[in-house]
Amino acid sequence: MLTDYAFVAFFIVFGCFFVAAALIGAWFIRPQRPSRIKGDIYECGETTRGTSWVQYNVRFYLVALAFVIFDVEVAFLLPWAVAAKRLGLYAFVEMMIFVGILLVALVYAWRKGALKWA
Amino acid sequence: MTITPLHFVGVSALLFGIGLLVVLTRRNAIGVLMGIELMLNAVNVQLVTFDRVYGPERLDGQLFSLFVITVAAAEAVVGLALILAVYRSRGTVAVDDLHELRG
Amino acid sequence: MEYDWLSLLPHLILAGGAVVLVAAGAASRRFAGAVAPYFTVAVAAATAAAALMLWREPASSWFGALTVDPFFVIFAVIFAATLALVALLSARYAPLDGSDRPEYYALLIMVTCAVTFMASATNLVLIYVAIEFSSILSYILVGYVRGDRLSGEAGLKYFLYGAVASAVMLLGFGLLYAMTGATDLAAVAANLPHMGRSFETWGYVTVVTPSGGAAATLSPVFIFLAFGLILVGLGYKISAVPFHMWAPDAYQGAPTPVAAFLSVASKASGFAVILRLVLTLHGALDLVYGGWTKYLAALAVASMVFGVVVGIVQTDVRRLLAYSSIAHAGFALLGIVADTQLGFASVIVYLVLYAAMNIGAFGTVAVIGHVTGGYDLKDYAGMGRRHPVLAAALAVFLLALAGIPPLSGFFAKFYVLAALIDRDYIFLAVVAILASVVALFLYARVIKPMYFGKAEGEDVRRFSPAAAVALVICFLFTLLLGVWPQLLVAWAKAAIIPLLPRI
Repeated sequence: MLTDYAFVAFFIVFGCFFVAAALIGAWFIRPQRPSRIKGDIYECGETTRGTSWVQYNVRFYLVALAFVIFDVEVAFLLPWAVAAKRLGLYAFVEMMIFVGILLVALVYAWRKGALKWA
Repeated sequence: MTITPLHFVGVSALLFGIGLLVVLTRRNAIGVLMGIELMLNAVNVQLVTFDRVYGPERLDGQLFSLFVITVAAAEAVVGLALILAVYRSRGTVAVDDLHELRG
Repeated sequence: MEYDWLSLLPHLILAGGAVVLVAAGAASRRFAGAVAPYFTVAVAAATAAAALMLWREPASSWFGALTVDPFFVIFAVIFAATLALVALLSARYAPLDGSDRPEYYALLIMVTCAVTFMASATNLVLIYVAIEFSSILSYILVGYVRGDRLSGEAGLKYFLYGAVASAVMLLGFGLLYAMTGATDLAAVAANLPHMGRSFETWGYVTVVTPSGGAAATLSPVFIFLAFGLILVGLGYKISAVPFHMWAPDAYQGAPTPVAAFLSVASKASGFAVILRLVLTLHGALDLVYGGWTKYLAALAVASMVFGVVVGIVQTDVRRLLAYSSIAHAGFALLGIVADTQLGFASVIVYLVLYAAMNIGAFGTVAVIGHVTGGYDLKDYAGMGRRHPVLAAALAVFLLALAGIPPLSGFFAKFYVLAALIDRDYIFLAVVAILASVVALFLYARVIKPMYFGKAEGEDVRRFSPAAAVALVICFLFTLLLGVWPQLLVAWAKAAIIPLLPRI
């Protein structure tokens, strides 16, 4: 048990050492003549415009909120699905009621235009 | 060294503490919300740990944590919606700026 | 019977009503918006009827998740009545005009569903889910007024305080589960006295008694911690000091009918959970740490003193009522501190009477705010001449809150004090009486400008008949139950007796 963890610890230490050694070694060897051209974005990619701290569009939040419905639905569907055969018809009907209520919520969000991207 | 339930309790307590610290120090309402989520998940760790302690045929702890996940999601949705409403009306989500309600 | 659908009937009516209302709102906004308040009243009436039908011997169902007993019935009726009155008060409430009406009532019904679950739940999971369910919906309702800066701020503040408090409470539930291996309250109560499972190894470990083993020395700390943490969440629900910070802000920023709902139903639901926990875990509490009532007593005294002292300097009537509700929470807690049959019953009596007069007070404030446009004490100057009926109603509700006989508030306080004196808690009784005397000044600050202030502005316009009906009902309750409270006391005792710990 202990040796297993020691191996992990050794791996971490060695990994850190390896990266550090490579970077420091390169820093010693390479010539250092910085210029503006070198600082530019290389080969692919656009030159940045403005700041990267932009506001996300509010629509993303709305979609995220609607997504949560189904995200959480699965958390309950999965345990039921695993034991569905054993639980029988009763649990099936209950699950359908649960899904039905969520469906009402989805239809409601749809009617309110929460799913429209415009 | 073996990993015992106490270690998991320690991890859970640490996570909870970090969450509480985030809640107390963050100015941004979304940051506070993230701290709250951390606190809830810390409890989840604890619940699942003790579910294991009390044996595989009783699933109380896992069941509880499943509901906690659901509640956390619902809370995050409502929290984000409220933060959005406040942001729309006053252009900031800093907790310190919420001081218009006074006696 | 495990699958006892009948026991779920009050909850199902509420949940079904809310879903129907949401669907109707999606189909036809105008129709649903016009019918919604009366539909809500009908749902509330059906819920109360279904609950009263379930007045019977306590029966646990759904694998012990919930118990239907007279205790639940009384609370369900309180919640249903609150729902109906608040729906009537909201019917023409102007600040809500820009917002979605059908959804507002659907949310009100859903909160009521959540709080009725809080009264019936006997499983930690269901208790937690119900508390969160009601809190989350309350956040939405407080921040419901679209585009209103104060409403949004109040909603967000309420949310931030509430989410932290409930996370802390959840840790307490988690610890309780960790120590007992059960989420069912009865099982928790049975396992608590001899908890202390060894944490050293995984899997099946023999249970050690508190007197033996290393784990046992740890456990009292954990259990102390667990109940302390749970008290944070429940103290927040009943807005007891020091977990009260949200109340004045939320009541001021929220639509006033919502504030009425929060100050009555939300508070009563918190008390329902506290009573259920205390009564079920009574033996374990005594065994693990005797004298647990002194912590509740400290909370109660702090709430009463802080509530009246800070409330007296407020100038916004809604904030003033918020501090008064904090003080009332402290007073009602004293009934639990007494720890007797009369004490527990007095809490229920207190909550019922408090519900009628507080909805009345908030309702009158909402109507006056609607017709005069202000909630400041200045706006109440000369109200006695501008609208004598409204002013008289508000005065009666406030005097009832102060506990002036023969109004109902007097009996609410009387039974709590009787329970305290029965146990020789003279100091607590004296503090409670002193706080009530100071509270009289608090309410006099509203009453005085109404009758002795100079009337400014024109006479008050007519207001919504629905709100008038709600106010008349509250008024009758406040007067009649003040004269004739015996039946209520008998009911409260009948609700408490089956829950009392067998000694």
